[in-house]
Amino acid sequence: MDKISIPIGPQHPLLKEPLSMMVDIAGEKVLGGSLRLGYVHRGIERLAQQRTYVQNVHLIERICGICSHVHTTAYCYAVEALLGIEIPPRAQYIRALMCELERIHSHLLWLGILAKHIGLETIFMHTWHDREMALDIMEEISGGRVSHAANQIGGVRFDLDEEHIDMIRGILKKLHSQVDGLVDIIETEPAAMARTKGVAPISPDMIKAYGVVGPVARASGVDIDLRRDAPLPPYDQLEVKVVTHPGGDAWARTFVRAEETRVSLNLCEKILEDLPEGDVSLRTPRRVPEGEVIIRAEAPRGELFYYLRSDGSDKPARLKVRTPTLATLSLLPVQLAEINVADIPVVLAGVDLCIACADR
Amino acid sequence: MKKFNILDLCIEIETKTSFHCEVYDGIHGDHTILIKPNQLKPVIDVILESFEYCHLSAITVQQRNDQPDEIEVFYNFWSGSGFSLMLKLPVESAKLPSIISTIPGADFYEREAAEMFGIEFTGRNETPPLLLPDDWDQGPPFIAKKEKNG
Amino acid sequence: MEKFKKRLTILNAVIEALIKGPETVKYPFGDLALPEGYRGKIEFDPDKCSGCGLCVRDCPADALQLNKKSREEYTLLYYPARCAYCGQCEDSCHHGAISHSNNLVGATTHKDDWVLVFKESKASQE
Repeated sequence: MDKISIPIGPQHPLLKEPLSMMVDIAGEKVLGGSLRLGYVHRGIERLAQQRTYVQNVHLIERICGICSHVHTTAYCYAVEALLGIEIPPRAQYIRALMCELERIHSHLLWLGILAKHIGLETIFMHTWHDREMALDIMEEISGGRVSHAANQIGGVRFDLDEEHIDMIRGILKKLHSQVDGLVDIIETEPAAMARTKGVAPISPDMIKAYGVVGPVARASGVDIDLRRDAPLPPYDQLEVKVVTHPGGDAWARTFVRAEETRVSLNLCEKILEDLPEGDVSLRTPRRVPEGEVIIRAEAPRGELFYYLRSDGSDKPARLKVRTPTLATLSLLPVQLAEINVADIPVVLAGVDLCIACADR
Repeated sequence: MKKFNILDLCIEIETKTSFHCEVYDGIHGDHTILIKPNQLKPVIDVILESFEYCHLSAITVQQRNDQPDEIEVFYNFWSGSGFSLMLKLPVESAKLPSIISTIPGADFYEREAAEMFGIEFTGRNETPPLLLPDDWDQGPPFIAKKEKNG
Repeated sequence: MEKFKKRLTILNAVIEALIKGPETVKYPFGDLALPEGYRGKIEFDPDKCSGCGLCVRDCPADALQLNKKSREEYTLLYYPARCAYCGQCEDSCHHGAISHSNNLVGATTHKDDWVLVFKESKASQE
């Protein structure tokens, strides 16, 4: 059978963001592939050196649309570590609440994409409809559905009063029952299981060798979760249940992400229960003392790595961001070997691409 | 995972490779060991053997404005807690051995470091650019351009 | 029995969807009901502005520009097409002169020359 090379992307109905792949196929089997990044490279790290710390909070938020809050959380914790301050506990809990809501909306988005790629269009519609409930909560409390602008250096920019908390609890209750229904469907639906069981298995040794993080690593049995291993406050006071599955195939990745949505909903309810009283922000100086800091945070897709160096002025001297999708994408060409052509969408959905994060 | 101790790691490296380990404590949040470029591959082999689980988080490169003649390269690892290896290279002829034979996931990070800072990685077939466009002709974006005198 | 229950669930879902109607709002004929804290169009109160320039310094998108000749003679310009609607100017202003309403942002076909003069303050006559 002759080998044919098919380009997928940069614009393609399968992809939400531009990514160029060249896939070699022979008949129904995929032989391998290669990928090209850089179509949405905006030079965020270089731009951050030319703006002040306050302006950078808004620049960093626009690295990615789906995980924007955790980027600004990691950046703000980095600057606060260099300033040597600790933000009030109420601000820490509100940051964690937004992080968990973001994880819920990101996983529901992923669930819709997976269902759409398999062919279950109705689940896609229902999932994205229920995702709007999580976005409604974020819009009510922060002022934006997607660009929350919730963080500032020294705390958060809004407070929650009794009315807000009651509203959040009401919507969370509805969302919880909807998510339970959807997760039950996706875990027992025969079509979903048949399309994903046994597809593109990854062994734990490959996970370690390629540095893959997040739900993809947990779906191969590797027990890492930064919310438990290197917790940013207040996760050191919350008990996070880490979901793993030993399978390593696309079905395991589906199961891990679906169960993580349930865990995040329970965490949101616990955060609201334990919310302490107090201020939500501190005044901070504009100039940051010299120093270097490394902060790691658990984004919906895995380990987010921030390195920040300050030289005593009001602009950062070096900001380095390593997003989780970049690590997971390095495994994609290996995953593409030995599968059928019809499994390419399932593998792509399992990776949960966020190319804007990878390109920065 | 057992509790990480930077001194234990230094002792492991010194016993197995007889290189002297220097601890650099400038970074708030990660322990760092300063090594020379030719010691990179043996030290990484020791690291991968010493821990049950360890992965490469990132390769961070920077040029300090108060020392424009050298580049600092950090290999950031995660193994229950974070630690890094630090190397200093001259900016004009920055060369490092490639580690993709032991850690294939370092491929993307090496390509980004090569195109952004002009580092040459020996031992690889080719180091194509990762993020910059094909027609980029202005040199490594992060290296401060030398002022032309006269 | 199981098959009957499943058919009932499907029937329930269909009837519910028919009764609820579409989720989308036929803007501008429907009510959009944006929350109070929604970061929409920027409102400016010239009487409260003192020309200090803190908002200009903190804007991440260079959407504000202050042409200052003296403490009393200055002009504050705003470029809505560059604005990121982040609300940093509202947080930075000590006098409360600039704020977000919850109206939707306007539209234009000429992005580059869309500029609003927020305040033009002349020096006081002797």
